[in-house]
Amino acid sequence: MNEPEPTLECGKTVEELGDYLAADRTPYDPTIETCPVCLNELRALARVSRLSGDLLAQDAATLPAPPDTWLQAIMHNIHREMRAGRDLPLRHPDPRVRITVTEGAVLALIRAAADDLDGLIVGKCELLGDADRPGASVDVHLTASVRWGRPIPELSTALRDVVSTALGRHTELDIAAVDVTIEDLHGYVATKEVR
Amino acid sequence: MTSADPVDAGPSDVLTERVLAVAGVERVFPPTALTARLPDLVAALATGKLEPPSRVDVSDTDGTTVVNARIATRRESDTPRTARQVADTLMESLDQAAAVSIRIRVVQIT
Repeated sequence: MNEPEPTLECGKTVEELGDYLAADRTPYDPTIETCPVCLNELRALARVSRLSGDLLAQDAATLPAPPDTWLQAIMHNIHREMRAGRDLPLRHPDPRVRITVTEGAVLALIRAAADDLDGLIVGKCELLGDADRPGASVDVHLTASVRWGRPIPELSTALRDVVSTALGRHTELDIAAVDVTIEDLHGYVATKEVR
Repeated sequence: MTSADPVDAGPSDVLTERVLAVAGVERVFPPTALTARLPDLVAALATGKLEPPSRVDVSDTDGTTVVNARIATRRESDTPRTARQVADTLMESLDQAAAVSIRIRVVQIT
Protein backbone atom coordinates (compact mmCIF):
# COMPACT_ATOMS: atom_id res chain seq x y z
CA MET A 1 0.00 0.00 0.00
CA ASN A 2 1.45 3.35 -1.00
CA GLU A 3 -0.44 5.70 1.27
CA PRO A 4 1.46 8.90 2.00
CA GLU A 5 3.13 8.82 5.38
CA PRO A 6 0.72 10.56 7.76
CA THR A 7 2.08 13.45 9.75
CA LEU A 8 1.18 14.75 13.17
CA GLU A 9 0.08 18.35 13.77
CA CYS A 10 3.68 19.20 14.59
CA GLY A 11 4.84 17.84 11.24
CA LYS A 12 6.54 14.70 12.55
CA THR A 13 6.05 11.35 10.81
CA VAL A 14 5.95 7.91 12.38
CA GLU A 15 9.22 7.18 10.60
CA GLU A 16 10.98 10.17 12.17
CA LEU A 17 9.72 9.24 15.61
CA GLY A 18 10.63 5.60 15.05
CA ASP A 19 14.16 6.61 14.05
CA TYR A 20 14.45 8.87 17.09
CA LEU A 21 13.32 6.03 19.35
CA ALA A 22 15.68 3.59 17.69
CA ALA A 23 18.53 6.03 18.36
CA ASP A 24 17.64 5.91 22.05
CA ARG A 25 16.22 9.44 21.83
CA THR A 26 19.60 10.93 21.03
CA PRO A 27 20.65 13.50 20.12
CA TYR A 28 18.04 15.21 22.26
CA ASP A 29 15.40 16.84 20.07
CA PRO A 30 13.53 19.60 21.91
CA THR A 31 10.85 19.80 19.23
CA ILE A 32 9.94 16.20 20.05
CA GLU A 33 10.59 16.20 23.79
CA THR A 34 8.37 19.24 24.39
CA CYS A 35 5.56 18.07 22.11
CA PRO A 36 2.87 16.05 23.94
CA VAL A 37 1.61 14.47 20.73
CA CYS A 38 5.10 13.19 19.91
CA LEU A 39 5.60 12.02 23.49
CA ASN A 40 2.31 10.09 23.48
CA GLU A 41 3.34 8.43 20.25
CA LEU A 42 6.89 7.70 21.41
CA ARG A 43 5.53 5.97 24.48
CA ALA A 44 3.14 3.83 22.41
CA LEU A 45 5.85 3.02 19.86
CA ALA A 46 8.23 2.04 22.65
CA ARG A 47 5.69 -0.46 23.93
CA VAL A 48 5.21 -1.94 20.46
CA SER A 49 8.97 -2.14 20.04
CA ARG A 50 9.29 -3.98 23.32
CA LEU A 51 6.53 -6.32 22.25
CA SER A 52 8.12 -7.11 18.91
CA GLY A 53 11.42 -7.62 20.69
CA ASP A 54 9.77 -10.07 23.09
CA LEU A 55 8.14 -11.95 20.25
CA LEU A 56 11.40 -12.12 18.34
CA ALA A 57 13.11 -13.43 21.46
CA GLN A 58 10.40 -16.05 21.77
CA ASP A 59 10.83 -16.84 18.12
CA ALA A 60 14.47 -17.65 18.73
CA ALA A 61 13.26 -20.39 21.04
CA THR A 62 9.99 -21.65 19.61
CA LEU A 63 7.68 -19.22 17.91
CA PRO A 64 7.43 -17.62 14.49
CA ALA A 65 8.03 -13.89 14.28
CA PRO A 66 4.95 -11.77 13.82
CA PRO A 67 4.47 -10.71 10.22
CA ASP A 68 5.77 -7.21 9.48
CA THR A 69 2.36 -6.09 8.29
CA TRP A 70 0.89 -6.93 11.66
CA LEU A 71 3.24 -4.63 13.55
CA GLN A 72 3.09 -2.02 10.82
CA ALA A 73 -0.70 -1.96 11.13
CA ILE A 74 -0.43 -1.33 14.86
CA MET A 75 2.15 1.40 14.32
CA HIS A 76 -0.03 2.99 11.67
CA ASN A 77 -3.00 2.95 14.06
CA ILE A 78 -0.90 4.47 16.83
CA HIS A 79 0.19 7.26 14.54
CA ARG A 80 -3.40 7.95 13.49
CA GLU A 81 -4.67 7.92 17.07
CA MET A 82 -1.96 10.03 18.66
CA ARG A 83 -2.87 13.18 16.80
CA ALA A 84 -4.42 15.54 19.32
CA GLY A 85 -7.83 15.06 17.72
CA ARG A 86 -10.97 16.41 19.32
CA ASP A 87 -11.11 18.35 22.57
CA LEU A 88 -13.20 16.40 25.09
CA PRO A 89 -14.82 18.71 27.63
CA LEU A 90 -14.37 18.61 31.40
CA ARG A 91 -16.84 20.55 33.53
CA HIS A 92 -16.09 23.68 35.51
CA PRO A 93 -18.72 25.83 37.23
CA ASP A 94 -17.11 29.12 36.17
CA PRO A 95 -18.08 30.10 32.60
CA ARG A 96 -14.76 31.92 32.24
CA VAL A 97 -12.98 28.59 32.45
CA ARG A 98 -12.77 26.05 29.66
CA ILE A 99 -11.14 22.69 30.34
CA THR A 100 -10.63 19.90 27.87
CA VAL A 101 -8.61 16.73 27.47
CA THR A 102 -7.41 15.86 24.00
CA GLU A 103 -8.68 12.76 22.26
CA GLY A 104 -5.07 11.77 21.57
CA ALA A 105 -4.27 11.84 25.29
CA VAL A 106 -7.30 9.67 26.03
CA LEU A 107 -6.49 7.12 23.32
CA ALA A 108 -2.89 6.97 24.59
CA LEU A 109 -4.25 6.39 28.09
CA ILE A 110 -6.42 3.52 26.83
CA ARG A 111 -3.41 1.90 25.18
CA ALA A 112 -1.33 2.31 28.32
CA ALA A 113 -4.09 0.77 30.46
CA ALA A 114 -4.47 -2.15 28.05
CA ASP A 115 -0.73 -2.76 28.13
CA ASP A 116 -1.06 -3.69 31.78
CA LEU A 117 -2.80 -6.85 30.62
CA ASP A 118 -0.48 -9.73 29.87
CA GLY A 119 -1.13 -11.48 26.58
CA LEU A 120 -3.14 -8.82 24.80
CA ILE A 121 -2.17 -6.10 22.34
CA VAL A 122 -4.54 -3.37 21.25
CA GLY A 123 -4.69 -2.99 17.48
CA LYS A 124 -7.06 -0.10 16.98
CA CYS A 125 -8.77 2.23 19.38
CA GLU A 126 -11.60 4.65 18.59
CA LEU A 127 -14.08 6.89 20.36
CA LEU A 128 -17.32 6.79 18.39
CA GLY A 129 -19.89 9.55 18.90
CA ASP A 130 -19.84 13.25 19.65
CA ALA A 131 -17.17 12.98 22.30
CA ASP A 132 -16.50 16.72 22.04
CA ARG A 133 -20.11 17.54 23.03
CA PRO A 134 -20.80 17.59 26.79
CA GLY A 135 -23.12 14.80 27.85
CA ALA A 136 -23.08 13.00 24.53
CA SER A 137 -23.06 9.23 24.60
CA VAL A 138 -19.83 7.66 23.36
CA ASP A 139 -18.92 4.14 22.34
CA VAL A 140 -15.35 2.88 22.64
CA HIS A 141 -14.32 0.49 19.90
CA LEU A 142 -11.20 -1.60 20.39
CA THR A 143 -9.60 -4.30 18.35
CA ALA A 144 -6.96 -6.52 19.86
CA SER A 145 -4.75 -9.51 19.35
CA VAL A 146 -4.48 -12.19 22.00
CA ARG A 147 -1.47 -14.38 22.59
CA TRP A 148 -2.02 -17.98 21.59
CA GLY A 149 -3.18 -20.07 24.55
CA ARG A 150 -4.55 -17.15 26.58
CA PRO A 151 -8.29 -17.14 27.40
CA ILE A 152 -10.06 -14.76 25.05
CA PRO A 153 -13.28 -14.20 27.04
CA GLU A 154 -11.40 -13.38 30.24
CA LEU A 155 -8.95 -11.06 28.51
CA SER A 156 -11.77 -9.30 26.66
CA THR A 157 -13.59 -8.72 29.93
CA ALA A 158 -10.41 -7.53 31.62
CA LEU A 159 -9.77 -5.12 28.73
CA ARG A 160 -13.26 -3.69 29.05
CA ASP A 161 -12.74 -3.27 32.80
CA VAL A 162 -9.39 -1.49 32.64
CA VAL A 163 -10.57 0.81 29.86
CA SER A 164 -13.81 1.66 31.65
CA THR A 165 -11.92 2.34 34.87
CA ALA A 166 -9.35 4.56 33.15
CA LEU A 167 -11.99 6.54 31.28
CA GLY A 168 -14.10 6.90 34.42
CA ARG A 169 -11.14 8.30 36.29
CA HIS A 170 -9.71 10.63 33.68
CA THR A 171 -12.63 11.80 31.56
CA GLU A 172 -16.26 12.82 31.95
CA LEU A 173 -17.39 10.92 28.88
CA ASP A 174 -20.75 9.16 29.02
CA ILE A 175 -19.53 5.73 27.93
CA ALA A 176 -22.42 3.69 26.52
CA ALA A 177 -20.34 0.67 25.54
CA VAL A 178 -16.80 -0.63 25.30
CA ASP A 179 -16.81 -2.97 22.32
CA VAL A 180 -13.89 -5.35 22.02
CA THR A 181 -13.17 -7.32 18.87
CA ILE A 182 -10.42 -9.91 19.06
CA GLU A 183 -9.33 -10.04 15.48
CA ASP A 184 -6.01 -11.82 15.69
CA LEU A 185 -3.92 -14.29 17.64
CA HIS A 186 -0.18 -13.99 17.95
CA GLY A 187 2.50 -16.44 18.97
CA TYR A 188 0.77 -19.37 17.23
CA VAL A 189 2.88 -22.32 16.11
CA ALA A 190 1.33 -24.19 13.23
CA THR A 191 2.25 -27.83 13.11
CA LYS A 192 2.53 -28.02 9.33
CA GLU A 193 2.95 -24.50 8.13
CA VAL A 194 4.41 -21.43 9.75
CA ARG A 195 2.64 -18.27 8.74
CA MET B 1 -7.48 24.46 47.66
CA THR B 2 -4.74 26.86 48.63
CA SER B 3 -5.10 30.59 48.45
CA ALA B 4 -2.49 32.46 46.47
CA ASP B 5 -1.48 36.07 46.29
CA PRO B 6 -2.82 37.65 43.13
CA VAL B 7 -0.21 38.28 40.48
CA ASP B 8 -0.17 40.47 37.42
CA ALA B 9 -0.94 38.72 34.18
CA GLY B 10 2.67 39.12 33.06
CA PRO B 11 4.72 36.73 35.14
CA SER B 12 3.76 33.47 33.55
CA ASP B 13 6.67 31.83 35.33
CA VAL B 14 4.90 32.40 38.65
CA LEU B 15 1.69 30.92 37.29
CA THR B 16 3.61 27.98 35.87
CA GLU B 17 5.16 27.27 39.25
CA ARG B 18 1.75 27.36 40.86
CA VAL B 19 0.30 25.01 38.26
CA LEU B 20 3.18 22.58 38.72
CA ALA B 21 2.52 22.63 42.47
CA VAL B 22 -1.02 21.28 41.99
CA ALA B 23 -1.21 17.61 43.00
CA GLY B 24 -1.57 15.40 39.96
CA VAL B 25 0.13 17.75 37.49
CA GLU B 26 3.13 16.09 35.85
CA ARG B 27 4.34 18.90 33.62
CA VAL B 28 3.43 22.01 31.67
CA PHE B 29 4.00 22.13 27.93
CA PRO B 30 4.96 25.14 25.82
CA PRO B 31 2.10 27.06 24.23
CA THR B 32 1.22 26.04 20.70
CA ALA B 33 0.09 29.25 19.04
CA LEU B 34 2.79 30.78 16.88
CA THR B 35 2.03 34.23 18.25
CA ALA B 36 2.49 32.90 21.77
CA ARG B 37 5.77 31.26 20.82
CA LEU B 38 7.12 34.18 18.83
CA PRO B 39 8.97 35.81 21.76
CA ASP B 40 10.50 32.42 22.56
CA LEU B 41 11.59 31.92 18.96
CA VAL B 42 13.19 35.35 18.90
CA ALA B 43 14.92 34.61 22.19
CA ALA B 44 16.05 31.26 20.84
CA LEU B 45 17.62 32.95 17.84
CA ALA B 46 19.41 35.37 20.14
CA THR B 47 20.61 32.82 22.66
CA GLY B 48 20.97 29.75 20.50
CA LYS B 49 18.82 27.84 22.96
CA LEU B 50 16.31 25.95 20.89
CA GLU B 51 14.12 24.44 23.56
CA PRO B 52 10.86 26.35 23.96
CA PRO B 53 10.15 27.11 27.61
CA SER B 54 7.36 25.06 29.11
CA ARG B 55 5.11 27.61 30.66
CA VAL B 56 1.60 28.90 31.10
CA ASP B 57 0.84 31.45 28.42
CA VAL B 58 -0.67 34.79 29.43
CA SER B 59 -1.89 37.33 26.92
CA ASP B 60 -4.28 40.22 26.64
CA THR B 61 -7.10 40.14 24.11
CA ASP B 62 -9.34 43.21 23.94
CA GLY B 63 -8.87 43.92 27.62
CA THR B 64 -9.38 40.33 28.71
CA THR B 65 -6.53 38.47 30.33
CA VAL B 66 -6.34 35.14 28.54
CA VAL B 67 -4.47 32.31 30.27
CA ASN B 68 -3.65 29.14 28.40
CA ALA B 69 -2.11 26.09 30.05
CA ARG B 70 -1.30 22.80 28.37
CA ILE B 71 -0.65 20.20 31.01
CA ALA B 72 0.12 16.54 31.56
CA THR B 73 -1.57 14.80 34.47
CA ARG B 74 -0.45 11.67 36.27
CA ARG B 75 -2.21 8.40 35.66
CA GLU B 76 -2.72 7.84 39.37
CA SER B 77 -4.46 11.20 39.65
CA ASP B 78 -8.05 12.13 38.88
CA THR B 79 -7.63 14.24 35.74
CA PRO B 80 -10.91 16.22 35.87
CA ARG B 81 -10.32 17.13 39.52
CA THR B 82 -6.67 18.00 38.87
CA ALA B 83 -7.55 20.19 35.90
CA ARG B 84 -10.24 22.00 37.89
CA GLN B 85 -7.75 22.65 40.67
CA VAL B 86 -5.35 24.08 38.10
CA ALA B 87 -8.08 26.41 36.84
CA ASP B 88 -8.97 27.46 40.38
CA THR B 89 -5.33 28.08 41.22
CA LEU B 90 -4.91 30.28 38.16
CA MET B 91 -8.14 32.13 38.87
CA GLU B 92 -7.06 32.88 42.44
CA SER B 93 -3.70 34.12 41.19
CA LEU B 94 -5.18 36.70 38.85
CA ASP B 95 -6.60 40.10 39.54
CA GLN B 96 -10.19 39.38 40.51
CA ALA B 97 -11.38 42.70 39.13
CA ALA B 98 -10.05 42.04 35.64
CA ALA B 99 -11.83 40.26 32.81
CA VAL B 100 -10.30 36.81 32.68
CA SER B 101 -10.51 33.77 30.43
CA ILE B 102 -8.79 30.54 31.43
CA ARG B 103 -8.17 27.66 29.09
CA ILE B 104 -6.77 24.37 30.39
CA ARG B 105 -5.95 21.64 27.92
CA VAL B 106 -4.86 18.23 29.21
CA VAL B 107 -2.63 16.93 26.44
CA GLN B 108 -1.06 13.92 28.14
CA ILE B 109 -1.96 11.51 30.94
CA THR B 110 1.23 9.84 31.96
